[in-house]
Amino acid sequence: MSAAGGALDDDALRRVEALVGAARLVADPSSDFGRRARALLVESTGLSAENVELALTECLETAPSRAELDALIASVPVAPRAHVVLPANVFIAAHRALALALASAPHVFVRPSRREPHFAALLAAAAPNLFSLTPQIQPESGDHVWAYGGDTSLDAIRASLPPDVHLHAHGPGYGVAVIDASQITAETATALAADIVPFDQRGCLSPRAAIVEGTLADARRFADLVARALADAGERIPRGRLDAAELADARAWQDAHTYSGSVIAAGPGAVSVAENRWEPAPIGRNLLVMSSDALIVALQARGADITAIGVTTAEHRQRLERFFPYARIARVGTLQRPAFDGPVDRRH
Amino acid sequence: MSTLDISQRLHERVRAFARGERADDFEGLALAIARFQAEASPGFARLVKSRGGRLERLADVPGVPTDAFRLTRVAAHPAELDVARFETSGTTGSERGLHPFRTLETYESLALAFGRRALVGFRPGPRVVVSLAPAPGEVPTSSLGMMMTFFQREWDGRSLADGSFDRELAARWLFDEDGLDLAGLEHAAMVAVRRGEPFVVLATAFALVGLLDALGGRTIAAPQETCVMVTGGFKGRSREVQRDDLRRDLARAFGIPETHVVAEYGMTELTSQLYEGTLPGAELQGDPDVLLEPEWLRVEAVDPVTLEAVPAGEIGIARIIDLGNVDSALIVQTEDLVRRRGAGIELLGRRPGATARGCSLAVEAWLG
Repeated sequence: MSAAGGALDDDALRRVEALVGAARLVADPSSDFGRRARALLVESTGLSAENVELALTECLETAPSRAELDALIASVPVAPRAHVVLPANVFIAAHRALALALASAPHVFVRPSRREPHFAALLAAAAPNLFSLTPQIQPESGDHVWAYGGDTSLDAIRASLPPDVHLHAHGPGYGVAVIDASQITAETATALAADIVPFDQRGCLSPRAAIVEGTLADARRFADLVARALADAGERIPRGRLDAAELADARAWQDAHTYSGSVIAAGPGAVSVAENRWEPAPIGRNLLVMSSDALIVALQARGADITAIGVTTAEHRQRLERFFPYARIARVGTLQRPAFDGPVDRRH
Repeated sequence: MSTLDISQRLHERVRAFARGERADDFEGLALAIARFQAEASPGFARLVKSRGGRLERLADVPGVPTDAFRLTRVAAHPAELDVARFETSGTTGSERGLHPFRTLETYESLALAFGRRALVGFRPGPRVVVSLAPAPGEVPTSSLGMMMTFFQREWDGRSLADGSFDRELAARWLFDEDGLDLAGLEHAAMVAVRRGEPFVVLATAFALVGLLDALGGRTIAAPQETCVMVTGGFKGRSREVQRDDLRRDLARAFGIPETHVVAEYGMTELTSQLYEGTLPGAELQGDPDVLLEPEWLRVEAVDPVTLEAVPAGEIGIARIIDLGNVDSALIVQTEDLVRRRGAGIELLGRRPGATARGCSLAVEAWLG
């Protein structure tokens, strides 16, 4: 059930607009909120100062259109109370998660991530009384819960909720880029690097594989270009701190791909090439580039995990929209700026 | 000397080492194998180069990640010389890996030598050996099936009806895609009782859970001198059972002490195996849950990021140095968590990875 029209929509709109106003304050480097955000988020996220700046100024949605807001409000049911369990790895995701909850309910309770509590706290301070921060949500019958987490965490949340509480669970996902052989250029590679760099690739919009519709030689050519683009991007926007599990994954992946002979150094990360088999590269600015002459089949093999697809041609966009209607499909280079019109992850 | 000659000579040295002929020490033989692989395998040479290119100490030798077996051919010999290609079981959604062998002579020799020390207990003499696994077929693709074949042939070597041994005999391979042959297992147990011989059941944990389900609380009339070898995990199967619970339930089902249930740890990517040393009368003796290495294999617990050895008693991922892997990867870098304990290692599951995580990384410690 979507929000009904009239007064309810107006209230929801006011709440969401108040949140967007708070986000504008936090994004503004000249505001007190903006200054505090930049100091706190570098520490809590482990991202470099340059990457935090990029996220706040390029990725955070501070100027959504009225049509986007209407769509966002229409995407959620009306609820008496909404609860949000926030993710840790993409700090600005808290903004959209909160907007969805505020569009749904007048009373919103937010459990911030323990590892990154600052962004939600800054929004709360910039928009007093709009929502409540809580160390533990306590939903009641009829309430809605938006939760972002791994499958195990979501199962635990599901099991812990009282009956008649509606759970909107958003599990892990990642992005994939689809490259037409005619678009293998340095510009395309630079655009793809721009999608990979934000949040050091931790987001579900972050491409972790690129499928080149062409030959293995095409894939290798593109891999070389992306490796160069990622190295250049790493100079401008250094990679931040990876956690131990991320480092271990990257180490294991790079060793295995070094053995197979396909790995190319790419600044702080690496790019590898494969033919007709793929799996996502590990977080930390790594990319697997695969050639395929059966694009849809290749994507469908891991379709349940794909939340976003970057494309280089209108033809690819049309073709992929038919098979992956839930995925956020956008031109390569713009994946990290999806419309503010509902959840980023539309698989459910 | 040709590559083939060097390989052949190294195999002979490894088998001699395993027999206790100590012309070589472990580290010297390991380094000889590593240098051979760096010459004969471009993939390994690349990995060595990425670590500085030196092979002067065992610590210099990089482990080949298990994933490499899925991505490419891990071998120091050309494919036309393969006599066997064992497939990894894989995990959900992943392709299978391959471990090619140029000769099975060393594999057979090492598997029998250490298997005998762990699983041949009670008393000398023949025993009835069956497997809760599919028959390996004409072209074996399962290293476990191959190993079970060796054990059946060497420790039993007869048909269940006192005829000659046939490795494909259905009566010895009692678990396949159609399920468990419970009647077959009960018949084999009865043959052992009738012959007055020990009974050895070789099985995966998954098959044994199937057995317990099929029994539904009933017991099998097996000899008191029954040994159950348990290997493998569940890898996304329908039902998982804790190791201790499985051991207890199997002991009850066969009417035997828990010490007769012996865990084996092996991987397709390896040539050698580790075992618990709990079986009475067996040469190998140790505590329950402690996996013991043969002299030709070492497990080091290493930091998952730096791959440096962790202090004794701390948890790390297993870096397994297997001298039997002459023609593939001397050191296999796994993602299995282990801890040194006493004379062996404890296996503590898989390293939780970050790769599967996407935008919804962490609702950390939701319940805690």
